[in-house]
Amino acid sequence: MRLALIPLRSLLPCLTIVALAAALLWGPWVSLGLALTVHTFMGFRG
Amino acid sequence: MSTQRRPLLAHPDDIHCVAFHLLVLVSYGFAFWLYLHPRQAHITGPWSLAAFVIAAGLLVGWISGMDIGINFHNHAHKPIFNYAFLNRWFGRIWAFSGGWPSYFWRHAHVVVHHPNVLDPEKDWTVPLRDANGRPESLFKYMVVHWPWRYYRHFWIEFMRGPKPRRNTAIKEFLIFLALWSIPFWIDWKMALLLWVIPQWVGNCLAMGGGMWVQHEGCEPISAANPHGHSNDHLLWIFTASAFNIGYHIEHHENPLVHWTELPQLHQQMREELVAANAHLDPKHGYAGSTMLAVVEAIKAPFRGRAATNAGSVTDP
Repeated sequence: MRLALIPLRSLLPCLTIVALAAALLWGPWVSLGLALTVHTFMGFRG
Repeated sequence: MSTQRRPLLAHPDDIHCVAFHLLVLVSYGFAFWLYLHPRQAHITGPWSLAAFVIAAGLLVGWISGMDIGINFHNHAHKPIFNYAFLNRWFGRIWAFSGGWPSYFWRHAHVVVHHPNVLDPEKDWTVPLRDANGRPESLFKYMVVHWPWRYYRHFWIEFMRGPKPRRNTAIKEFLIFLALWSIPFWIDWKMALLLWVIPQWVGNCLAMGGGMWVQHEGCEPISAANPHGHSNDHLLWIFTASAFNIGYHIEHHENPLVHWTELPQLHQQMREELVAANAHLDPKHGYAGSTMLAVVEAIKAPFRGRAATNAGSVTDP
């Protein structure tokens, strides 16, 4: 249970790694788009 | 005689603190690797490099601010290991990726901020206030407080303080410099773009915003207003993903309570907090509250001008 909760407790680091990995597949502009999306979401809701 | 060894972690849930920090280090390492392998990352020129640096600055910077201001913060109050050596060295490799010597952060937070919260003479970690109690501009606080204002106070308190404290500060600063300089030895441009910039974002924007909203509109502890020193931010996704830092009134009044136990403490104190009109915000976390504070800070000069204009019309 404790380990299963790690992705929730570490939500933003997990999203960061995913967004950086997007650069490998689709390039840095997609990473930037994901970064802005995450921050907009966190800014308005978190 | 028992030969049973103590568990590594002081509290089993501190595995989350370790995981968070390791993921932050992985994020930095991954960003460095992408920079050093531009073809794999589709970085083909200055514009795509700029997009990557801004993305990494926002993403890694934000989690870096959380890692030091919330996660290492837990360790500063209640060390997460049962072994002093591990606490000391994990603390060092924890705080350096946030741009801090661990000893300095602990001093600013545990020695200065907590015992003197919002004291205008002693608590130099929070926004300055004028004689009328009005805080400085949010933007000024964000830009000035780290590292400039903090290091001025560190210099005063360490260099003019007791000799053992000064010696410890110098030793810890040298250890920090050795660790912090590693990315510069690999590639100094990479270090500036993907190490210094995210740490600036983490400290000035994320942690600066966090410090602001934790105590915005608050006052020093008094008998008349014992819970008015801090703000609670109780949005569930925020408390779940930010180590319960939103229970800030409870934390300041009971700094040795483990971060996992703050929700229960909140339930015990809730009736008293509500009766005392304590600042409980169920709708926002720190990012949302910082956004609102930014909007207020942008509007403030115009509001001041409007008030002045109104005054000039009504004054004889």
